[in-house]
Amino acid sequence: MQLIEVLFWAFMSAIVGAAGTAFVYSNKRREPVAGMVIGFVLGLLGSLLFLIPLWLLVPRGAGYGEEEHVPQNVVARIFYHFVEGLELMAIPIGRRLRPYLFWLAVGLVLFFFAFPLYWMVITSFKPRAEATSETPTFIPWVQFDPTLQNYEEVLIEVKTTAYGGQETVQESEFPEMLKNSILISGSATLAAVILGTMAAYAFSRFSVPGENDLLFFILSTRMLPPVVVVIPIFLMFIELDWLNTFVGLFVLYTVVGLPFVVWIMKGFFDEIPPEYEEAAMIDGHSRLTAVFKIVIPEAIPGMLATAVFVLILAWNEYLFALRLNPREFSTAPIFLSEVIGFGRTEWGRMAATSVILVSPIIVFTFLVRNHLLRGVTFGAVRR
Amino acid sequence: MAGQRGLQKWGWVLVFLAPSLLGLLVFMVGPILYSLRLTLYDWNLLSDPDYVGTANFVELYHDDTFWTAFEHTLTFLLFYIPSVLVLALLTALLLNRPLRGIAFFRAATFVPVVSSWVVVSLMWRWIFNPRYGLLNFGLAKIGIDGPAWLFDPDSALHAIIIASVWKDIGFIAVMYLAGLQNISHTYYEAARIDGAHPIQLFRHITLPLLTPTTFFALIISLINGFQIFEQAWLMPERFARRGTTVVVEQIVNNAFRYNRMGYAATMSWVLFGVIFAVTLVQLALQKRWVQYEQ
Repeated sequence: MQLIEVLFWAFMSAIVGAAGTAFVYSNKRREPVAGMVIGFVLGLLGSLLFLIPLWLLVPRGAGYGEEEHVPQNVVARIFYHFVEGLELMAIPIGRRLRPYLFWLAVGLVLFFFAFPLYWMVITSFKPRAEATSETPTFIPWVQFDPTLQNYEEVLIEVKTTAYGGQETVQESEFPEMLKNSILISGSATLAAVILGTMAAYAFSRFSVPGENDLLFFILSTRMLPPVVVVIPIFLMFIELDWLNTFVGLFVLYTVVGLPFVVWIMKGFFDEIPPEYEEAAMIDGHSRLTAVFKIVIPEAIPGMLATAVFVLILAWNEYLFALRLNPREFSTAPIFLSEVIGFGRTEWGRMAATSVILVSPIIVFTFLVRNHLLRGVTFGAVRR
Repeated sequence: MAGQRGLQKWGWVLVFLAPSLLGLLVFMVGPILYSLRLTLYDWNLLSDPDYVGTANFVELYHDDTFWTAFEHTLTFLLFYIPSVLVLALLTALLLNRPLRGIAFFRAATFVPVVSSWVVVSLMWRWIFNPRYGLLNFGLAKIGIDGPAWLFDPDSALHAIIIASVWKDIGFIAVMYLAGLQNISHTYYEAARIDGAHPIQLFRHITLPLLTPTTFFALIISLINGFQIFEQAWLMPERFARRGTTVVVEQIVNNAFRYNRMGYAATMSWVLFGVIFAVTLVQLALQKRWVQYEQ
């Protein structure tokens, strides 16, 4: 056992101890920072109590690739064989249980990720009284009767009957905002993909100075918090009279998506041999027709995948939309965030809104599942 | 002839690049420089900007609200980073098997990543609801009296951390899956012939060869973590906010609630400075622990 391993495990136990104690403390309404410190120290000391003997007794460098030395003194030998015995016992048991454990674990993972989403979907079909009931119900048709009322209220209108029997109808603002979202994110995606693809082609085919610091450039654009830009953009849009307009958010989302498109599309273009269009140009095509006839058809799948990523970016964007378009041309996430804040919470309606917002994104994600990694790493990792 | 071709070539480069560069210059680089200049001014949008020199930075240094927000951001990172990295690695290890239908499970872990924070916050607000939320219902079943979560300044940040980890596991797990698939089988085969058992395989082959992925994931999640905003803005109840306020929230408040444009710009540049410094330290330290394959 190496000293570094001892320190590693001690530190990990200290962190776990700190997290656990802080959590318990904050539940008991005591100062969580104090709990964190106490837990850290306890975790550190507690683990060292176990780790230091282990470190002293178990020979250094025991493990794969080096010859194991069985220690000489008696205590150490007992300890050594005890650990070895545990390992020897654990392996066959583990081997036999492995398939069951595997599917159990997969089931747990699926539950962990999918259950909150499942809960959202079924709640969107629950009648109002059912949604806030203190004993939750999980199975539609068995435990409650699903209804489309929430969707009607979100997409069309809310009907309320006052005591006198007078019916008031309040039209929903959501369809308008959904339309804005589709218009703004759709057109921004189109613009970003077209402009970004052009730039990416140039970066890929010609040696443009300064393209080598790729990774650091990616990192630095991400290090700059979007809020740095929010204030000047806000001021600029006041000057241009672009607040609460289509143009404002459209231009902004295009520009935000551009670097992303450029780097991802550069990766795709790098994979298309330049000999293709060179051959076409020798045959008498101009570069422009060669690009359109030869390169673009090859790059279409990449462009679609990139488009999906930009679309997701623009569709989910919240901070800029909240500040720049609070009244006119508001987008759908703003609708949802505004119902969170006020008065009695209409869980059913909010769940229906969420389902409408998320389902197109999920469909698109499944369509580009082979390119996820490129999207996640900004094109730095290619598969 | 060659000169003409060269000119033609650069002409094309210009045509292809100009629209993007122009857009980025006007709507990205311009605003960034402008906000840098704003840090030296006091401006409430109504009167003309006042040049105040470094007064904004001095005020920031003595601003308790900012330091509280900074402390919350650091607390968030302290819990969020290790949990999200470890859980993402476990998820990736589990799903890194050539089984039929495994793609479905992989994609399922990615659904939270592409969902809007507005939707995710809403969903978790509801699960964390102390009265009819699912979590405390479940905890009560096993005899634990759950905290008030988002209604309680002391536990609201924990709720935010849990939701953030849930949302971002899939993001990191995709990277780990790719990292795992890049490890050549020959290493494992050779080690197995030498009699290594699974724990040793993981400890001496998988873990070291995943350090480049871990490094990348660590950098990205630190950068994103320092900029935590939407969840902290949307999840906690109003009276629990004093326990959750984070740096970006303070920037937004100063800019749009108190109309202090210069001060807000100063905060955002200080945040950028911190992120930049942390990333540089990481890049410098990477030689110590990241093992690139020869």
